[in-house]
Amino acid sequence: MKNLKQDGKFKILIGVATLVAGVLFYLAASGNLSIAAQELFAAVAVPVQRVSTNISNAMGDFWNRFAAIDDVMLENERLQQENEELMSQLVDFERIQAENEQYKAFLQIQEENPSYETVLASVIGRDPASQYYSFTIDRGEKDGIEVQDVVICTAGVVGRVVEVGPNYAKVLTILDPAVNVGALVSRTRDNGLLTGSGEYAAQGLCTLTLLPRETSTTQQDIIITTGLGGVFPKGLILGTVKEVLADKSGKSMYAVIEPVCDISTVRMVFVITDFDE
Amino acid sequence: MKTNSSYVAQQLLSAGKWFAYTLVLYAAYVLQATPGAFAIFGVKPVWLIAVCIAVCSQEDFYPSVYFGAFAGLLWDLSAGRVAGAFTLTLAVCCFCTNLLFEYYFRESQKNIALAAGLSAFAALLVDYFFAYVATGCTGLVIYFFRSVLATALYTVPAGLVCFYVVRFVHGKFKFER
Repeated sequence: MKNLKQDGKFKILIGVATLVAGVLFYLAASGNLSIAAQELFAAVAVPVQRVSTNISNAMGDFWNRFAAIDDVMLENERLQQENEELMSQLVDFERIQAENEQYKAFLQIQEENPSYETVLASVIGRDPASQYYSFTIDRGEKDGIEVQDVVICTAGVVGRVVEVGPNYAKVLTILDPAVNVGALVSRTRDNGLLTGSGEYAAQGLCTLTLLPRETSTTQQDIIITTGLGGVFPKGLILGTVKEVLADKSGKSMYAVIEPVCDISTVRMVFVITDFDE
Repeated sequence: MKTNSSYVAQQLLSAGKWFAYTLVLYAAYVLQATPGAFAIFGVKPVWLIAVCIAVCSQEDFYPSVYFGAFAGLLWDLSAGRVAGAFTLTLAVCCFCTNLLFEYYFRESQKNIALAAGLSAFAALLVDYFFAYVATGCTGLVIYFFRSVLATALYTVPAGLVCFYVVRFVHGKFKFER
């Protein structure tokens, strides 16, 4: 056995151990690491630790995807079901919202005209061969509708009922030449006869005929019902004037009228089943 | 006995087939009258004509004409015409179509689609004369292009669709000896 006291390497080892012990006692006494050493340590170790941590996390996530797949699938099913329920509620909400708007319009008409008895109806039939945009509604005799009842939208007159069944009714619009309405110009109080015209019906317009030659009716004037004849209640808006032209005979004028409702696309209407004359 | 049972089976199949045709016709009636359904710029095809022409091409003479008359009656109700106007028109159209396909034309989808378009044109032209020209309406040109020509053209693709539907029904109820 070699004499350790004489071994140089052993002496170096003792020296290093003594140094480390000395630093250790110093640090224990002082309570902290020296700043320089800490920074040196961090500069070398932390980047490597960061990479190592990222790799470890990635591998952990990868593993968890498979290990926790059952939980993920269950959660997915639950969320899908919840989504379906929410979609269904949204559809119901939109339907209720649309119904609410219709009932508000219905109530508005009732409030503005308390003497009217009205029935709310949907347009359910428009044939390609329908003349002058006539249509069928889903209310009939059992709802109190009769022939000649006036059909209106929230804004004004649409037409009148010409045929009634137990649960349907056919409506002729004011664009039809067969429908004649006693009308007057709201501003000038000129009387006339509102009727459909084959020439203008394709554009969704009708005419107010028999206006006096000296009429001062002009564009944008509002046309309302006179109530004469007892079919159409008084004061309902029919439309607005687009232009005033001379009749072919030269003895009177006529106005081209744009109805307040878009008759070719109206979907909800009200049928006035009774009113005070 | 065997002959009797096969006769009964044939009758039952025939009844089932015409019941199915009636259901298709009813669906066409609803589709035709539904506001906005398949409408392009307000123009819609006449599905009733498309169905009855397709049936005419597959079936015998008398049943086809009666079926066309029934389709015309439905169209009268839908369009608000006097009952019988379109009934007679479609009965005549089906009469002519059946003869043409019996003796001259092949039962191909193109021929049937074209026949549907031409029948629609003929029926709407007759209606145009009675509903617009005879009543002294103005603006006749607009109505001709919109109510007659455009609708008849749009009925051609509807005829194509109905050809496949009717052929399917016909094939399902075919009696195999």
